[in-house]
Amino acid sequence: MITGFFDPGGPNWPIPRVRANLYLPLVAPRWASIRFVIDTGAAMTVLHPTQARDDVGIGPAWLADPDRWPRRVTAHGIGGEQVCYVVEAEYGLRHERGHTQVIRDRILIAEPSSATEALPSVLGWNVLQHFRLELDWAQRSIHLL
Amino acid sequence: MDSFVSSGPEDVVDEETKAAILEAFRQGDIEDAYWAEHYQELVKQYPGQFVAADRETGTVVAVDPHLDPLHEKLESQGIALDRVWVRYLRVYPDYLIL
Repeated sequence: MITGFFDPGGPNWPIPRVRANLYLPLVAPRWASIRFVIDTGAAMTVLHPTQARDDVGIGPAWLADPDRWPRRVTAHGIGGEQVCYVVEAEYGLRHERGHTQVIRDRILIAEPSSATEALPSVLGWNVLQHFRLELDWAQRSIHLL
Repeated sequence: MDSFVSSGPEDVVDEETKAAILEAFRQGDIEDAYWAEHYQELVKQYPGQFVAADRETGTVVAVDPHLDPLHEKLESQGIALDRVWVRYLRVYPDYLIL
């Protein structure tokens, strides 16, 4: 069981969060801990620029240069379209009592722009599909089972 | 995107990898505790801005409405990114529709 949390810095409506670690073998080969928003409307997990730069440690010049990212897709959301880089990713997960798991898949890294720089990173269905979600706002509890 | 390897959750059996994962989580927990304690006071001081806080002391060392200038301020002070936590202090109501 993985434990998440409702953002204590958020407003009076629920912003469900969970920490997961990221290891990007070809980009940033070290484990970085990311606070994701749990997004059941997202097909894929997306890393936004603040976390890409400050948490994962991708240099700003590298991140802003599309030529360094051979695989790109255009993601569509309520806010519009967003070009994202597609990279191989490992997701490190922490269960109770120190039990750890890894999911190998991919992640989208949003191309930096003024529209994306302040957005949170979101954990999408490529990861969430492996769990049963329990989100209880009344109890302020979140579990991935 | 078909050439990527995908797997479901697999237990980590390599002790070195497990230790690295748990250490990253430990660092994340420390950051969460910092922001849980200080977010409300900082958002009043720096609404709608990026804030960089020193990981050792918790002191705010740079503030800017945008990420690039924030990093320039850190660089000018000789502060590496791995010495700070950076957070955008969102002002609500500010609706997120993801």
